[in-house]
Amino acid sequence: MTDDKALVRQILAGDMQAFALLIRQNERLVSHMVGKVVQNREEHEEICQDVFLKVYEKLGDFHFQSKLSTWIATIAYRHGLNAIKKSRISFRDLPEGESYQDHFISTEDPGAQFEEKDWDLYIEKLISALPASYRLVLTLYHQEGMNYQEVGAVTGMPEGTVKSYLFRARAMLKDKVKESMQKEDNYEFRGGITATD
Amino acid sequence: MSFEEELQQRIEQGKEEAGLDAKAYYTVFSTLRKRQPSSLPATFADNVVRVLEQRKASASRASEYWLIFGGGFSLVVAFVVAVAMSGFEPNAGFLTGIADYSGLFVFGIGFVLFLSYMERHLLRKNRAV
Repeated sequence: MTDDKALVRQILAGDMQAFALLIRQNERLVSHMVGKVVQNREEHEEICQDVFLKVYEKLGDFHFQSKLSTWIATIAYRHGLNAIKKSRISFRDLPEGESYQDHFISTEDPGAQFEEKDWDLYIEKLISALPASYRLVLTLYHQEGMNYQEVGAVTGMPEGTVKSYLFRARAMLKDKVKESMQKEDNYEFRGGITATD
Repeated sequence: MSFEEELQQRIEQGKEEAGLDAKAYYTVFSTLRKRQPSSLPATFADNVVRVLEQRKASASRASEYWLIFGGGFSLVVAFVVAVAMSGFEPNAGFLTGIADYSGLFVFGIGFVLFLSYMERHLLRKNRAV
């Protein structure tokens, strides 16, 4: 926090190298935030750039009510949503009144596309098929190390919703991984019989 | 709290659990904990700073133009107000006095053009030699 304060002070004094440092410290966070909301690669970098320009513009109004990274993530989230509204990029989120579970990747058909032995790759593909709100909550909590309160502050969701989304997203991922593990075990078992035959 | 929630909590806390559900959760948590790299180019920070500096420069140029325009406009307004308030009437002044010497003006202009022609065609040629 103290380092962040010194950094902000330097930037406000006109030190552009300090601002470049702030960007380098937070570009991964912003890239993930924008990437979770906007899945259009062409627009991704442009929106990330706009986020940091906005951060520079609004930095004078930031008084450390929260962590600097949380504040930047909030701007990134709102900017991502605005970009979607402006350019009408498709935003796949929770369908109203029904469970997203029904719309999640079916292991029957495209499951074969995944190299299931590479779990990281497989789970990353599963994550990218989750609704945007679930992806966001997962990223902020697990990748950025934010707590429920901070995730809520960034996304504007109540703490209970954050907990619930996090739980449901992980449970959905677990179910798919479990299915794949079972299929893999069955395959190995059948393969074993063939080998002994 | 459901069994599933408890299981997630215990695994997150690093406790050892058995069973296929737990195994699947361990795999999921392991991937979730791995830090994903940024998909932005290595020059991203420098690019943003460059764009910002360009914007600042164009904003300061725009404010200079506004200053020049504002200054010019104020001068015109001040002139109009001064003329209106002082009852000033334009007067050609000394120009009316020398109106009879138009031949002299025509000669002067012709002479200046002649000198300019001589300078261009004779003196410069000589210098080049």
